[in-house]
Amino acid sequence: MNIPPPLAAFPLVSQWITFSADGVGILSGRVELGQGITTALIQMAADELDVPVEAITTIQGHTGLSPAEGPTVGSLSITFGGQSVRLAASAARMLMLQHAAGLLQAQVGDLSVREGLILKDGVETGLSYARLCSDVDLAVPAKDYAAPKPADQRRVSGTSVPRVDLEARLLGGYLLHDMDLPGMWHGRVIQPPSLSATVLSLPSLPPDVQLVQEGQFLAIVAREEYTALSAVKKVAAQIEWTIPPIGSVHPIDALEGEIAESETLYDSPDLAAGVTEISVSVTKGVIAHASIGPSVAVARWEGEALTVWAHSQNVFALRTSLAEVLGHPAAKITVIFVPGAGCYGHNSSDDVALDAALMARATGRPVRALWQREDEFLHAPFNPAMCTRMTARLNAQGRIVSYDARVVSPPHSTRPAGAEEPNLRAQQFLPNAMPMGPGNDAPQPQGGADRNAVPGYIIPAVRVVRDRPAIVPYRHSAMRGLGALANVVALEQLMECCAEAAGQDSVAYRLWHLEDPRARAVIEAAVAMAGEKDRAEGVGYGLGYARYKNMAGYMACVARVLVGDEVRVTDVWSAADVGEAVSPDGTINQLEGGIVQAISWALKEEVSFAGGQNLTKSWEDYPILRFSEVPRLHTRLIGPQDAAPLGAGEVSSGPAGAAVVNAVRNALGANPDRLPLTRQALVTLLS
Amino acid sequence: MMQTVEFSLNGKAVTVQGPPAMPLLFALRGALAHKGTRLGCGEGHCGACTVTLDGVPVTSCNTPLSAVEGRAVGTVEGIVAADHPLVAVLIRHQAGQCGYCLPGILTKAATLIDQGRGVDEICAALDENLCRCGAHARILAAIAEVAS
Ligand code: FES
Ligand code: FES
Repeated sequence: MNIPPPLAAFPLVSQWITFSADGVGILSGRVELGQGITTALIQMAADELDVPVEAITTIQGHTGLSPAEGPTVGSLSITFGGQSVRLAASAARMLMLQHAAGLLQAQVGDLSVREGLILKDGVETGLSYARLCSDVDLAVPAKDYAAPKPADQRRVSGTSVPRVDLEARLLGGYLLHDMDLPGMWHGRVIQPPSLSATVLSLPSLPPDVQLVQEGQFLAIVAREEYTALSAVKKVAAQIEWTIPPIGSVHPIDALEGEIAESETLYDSPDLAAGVTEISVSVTKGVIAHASIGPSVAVARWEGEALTVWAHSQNVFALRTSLAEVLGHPAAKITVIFVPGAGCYGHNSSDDVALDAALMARATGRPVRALWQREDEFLHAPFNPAMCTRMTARLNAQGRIVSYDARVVSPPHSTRPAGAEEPNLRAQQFLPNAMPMGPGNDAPQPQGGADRNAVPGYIIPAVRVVRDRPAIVPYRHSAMRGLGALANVVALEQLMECCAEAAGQDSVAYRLWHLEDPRARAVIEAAVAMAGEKDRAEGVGYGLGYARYKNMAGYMACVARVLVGDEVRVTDVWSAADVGEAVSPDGTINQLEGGIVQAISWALKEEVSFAGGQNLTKSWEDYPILRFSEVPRLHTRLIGPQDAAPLGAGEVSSGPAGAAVVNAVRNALGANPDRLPLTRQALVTLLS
Repeated sequence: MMQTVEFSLNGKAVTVQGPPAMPLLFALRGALAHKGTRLGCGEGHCGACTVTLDGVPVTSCNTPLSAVEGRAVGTVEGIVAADHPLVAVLIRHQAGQCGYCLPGILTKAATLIDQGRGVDEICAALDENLCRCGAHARILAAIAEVAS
C-alpha cells in the first residue's frame, strides 16, 4: 500500500475520522478554496465507509483539530490529502467491523455495512457506526487496517456528486465575509505608500472610530463597517508620509538587467550541436490574483488566547507566522479556516489575518478586517514577471537532439513559513519591523519559476538555468501553475517552430517526441475533438500540451482564435488525463476554470507599472476576460478511473495558454514573444 | 448625520437608519442582515453587489441609501425565496466554483429572464459582472436553459 505523506505524518485513524451519534466526521488539513475539495473528500470517505454523502461532515483547516498537512496547493489535495482520508476511512470501517464481530461472535467477513448500519449476512444486527461510536478506539495506525476498495467497487467516487457547498454560496452566511461575532467591530488597514515610508502627521479622526497605530501600521476600526470605510478614505487621504524614492526599474526591464543569482537546475553533460538551431523567447508581465472578493479575517483575543478565522491556504503556517510576528506563543493561537472568495494561490488572505489580530489586540474587541480592492491590486503578492528563452537543436532528420532553457524570474513562492519567514505584510511596519523573506522555488521535478521548463518530450540532452533578477519592485509569490504558463507557452511555441523547420505536421512532430501513451492519447483526443479546421480569414488554430510538473495530470488543448484588432478565442477543445477523477464534473469545472483564467492571462492581464511604481488600483486598470469573451469549451476526461489520482486544479493553465498563443501565431505567421496579447502587443508583433 | 429611509425589500416594508451617502450595500449587509449581496470592489466595477431597484439591476455599492427611499429593492434572498427556476438550474449545471460572483449574477440574470430578455442580451448585460474562477460557460448554459 502506498502511504501518502500526510498519512505517514499523522498515522492514526483518529487523526482523520470521527464517529458520533449524528454521523461521520472527516478531519482534513485541505481547505475549500472553491475548487470542490470538500465534496471530493466526502465522496472518498463515503465509499470506504458505506455511508451516504449526507452523513459526512468535515472539519478542514483547523489548527486545533485538523492534521497539520501543510498547504492546500500544487493540485495535491486529492493525491495526498484525499488518499489519506480514503485509507483512514477504510481502516475506520475495519475497526468498526472487528469490534462488531466480537460483539456478535461473528467473522468480519460475514459483516457488511449499509448506510452506516452493520449487517450480518445481509441482515441488520442492531449495531451501527452511531451505536458503536464511543466504543471503538480509533487511535491506531491506519495502515495496519486499511484495505481501500478497488476502483470498480466504488459507488460514489467517480460519479459527479453535486458540490455540497454550492447552494450555500448563493446566500449569505457561508463565507468568512459574512461572519459576525458579538461585539465585533470592522477594521480597514491604511497601507503605507511604500515599504519605508513613515508617518509625519496624522489628521484628526472622524467621530466613532478608533485608530490603531503600531509603528507604521495604521488601521481604522469602528462598530459599523461603513463608518470604518468612510473614515479610512478620509484619513488616508490626509496623512502625511515621508515619500522615499520609488525605484525606476520596470519589472520587465529588470528581467534584462543584473542577475542576482544563477543556478543550473538540470544539466545533461553534452548538449549536441545538431544541424539547425531554433530559439524562442516569451516574456510575460506581472499578474494579479484578482479574486472577486477582497481578503477578510476575523480575530478575537480572550485573555492570552487568540483565535483567528482566515481563508488562508495554510492555517498551520499562518499560526506559526502570527506567533513570530506577534511575539505570542503558537500554543495560544488557533487559526480556523472559513471559506472566502476564489483563491488561486498565495494572495492577501494571510496578510489580513495579521491585520485583524493587531486591530483586535489594540482595541480589545473582536475585529473583522477587510482589504479594499485597491489594497489587493497594490499590495497583495503577484505572480511575477518572467522571461523564458528556449533553444532546440535539430539533427538532419529534424529530431531534437538537445535543448536548453533560461528562465529569468524571481522566486514563485514567498508564502508565510513560520519563524524563519513569516512573510505577513504588516510585519514590515511594526515597531520591531521584520523584512520579508526572499522566498524560494520548489526543487525540480516540481520547480517554481522553472516549473515545466524541463520538457516532457524525449530529448537526449537538456539544460535548464534559472536566473533571479537583482531588482524586483513588487511582491512576488505563488499563483496557479507558477512558472508553468510562460514555460509551456514557450515550449509549445518551440515545438511548432521546430516542426516547421523539420517540414513536419506539428501534431505528428510532437508525437514523434513522446512515448508515454497517456501523453499521446490526450494530444490525439484533443486534435480529434477539434476536427476539420476552417480556413476563414483571421482564423488560427493552435495546440498546447503539457503534463503538469511532468508528474501530475496530462492535458492537451486546441484553441481556435479569430484575430482582428484584438484576439478572440472562439473555441477550446481539451482532453485531460488526471487519473482517477473523484468527481468527473467537478474536475471538468476546475479544468475549464483554469482554461478561462489562462486565456485571460494570455490576452489581457498585466499589472501596469511606471518604473517601479505600481499604477494598478481598480478593475478599470486591470481588465479580465468577460462573459461575452469566453469561448465555447469542449472538455473531455480520458484517463483511467482505476489509476492513481494525479491532481487537476492547475493542469490546464499551461496547455490552454499555449494553445491560444500558438493559434495566434498560426493566424499571423509571427511568433508572439510578449504576453499579454493585447491590441497593442499585436501591433508590435506585426511591425 | 443620519437619515431614516423606508423602502420595500423583497416585497416587505423595511426602515433603516444610516448616513444618506452610505451605499445601500452596507445597509443590506449590516442592519438588514441580507448578506447574500457581496462587496467585491465598492466602485461599481465588478457586479458582485448587484440588486434590483424598481426591477432594474443596479450595483448597490454605489447606490446611496437616500436614493432608495420609497422604492422597491430586490436581492438574491428574494430570488431564492421565490424559487426562481434559474436557481435550481444553476445548481444542476454546477455553475460556479467559489460562488462569490453568483448572487449578483443570479439577481441580474433572473430579473432579465423575467422581463423576457434573450440570452444574448443577458450575456451582454453580464459583461458588467466579473467572475474570476472562470465559471462563465456554465452560468450562460444555465441561463440559456431557463431563458428559452
Ligand atoms: S462591489 Fe459593487 S460593483 Fe463591485
Ligand atoms: S465562481 Fe468564483 S468568482 Fe465566479
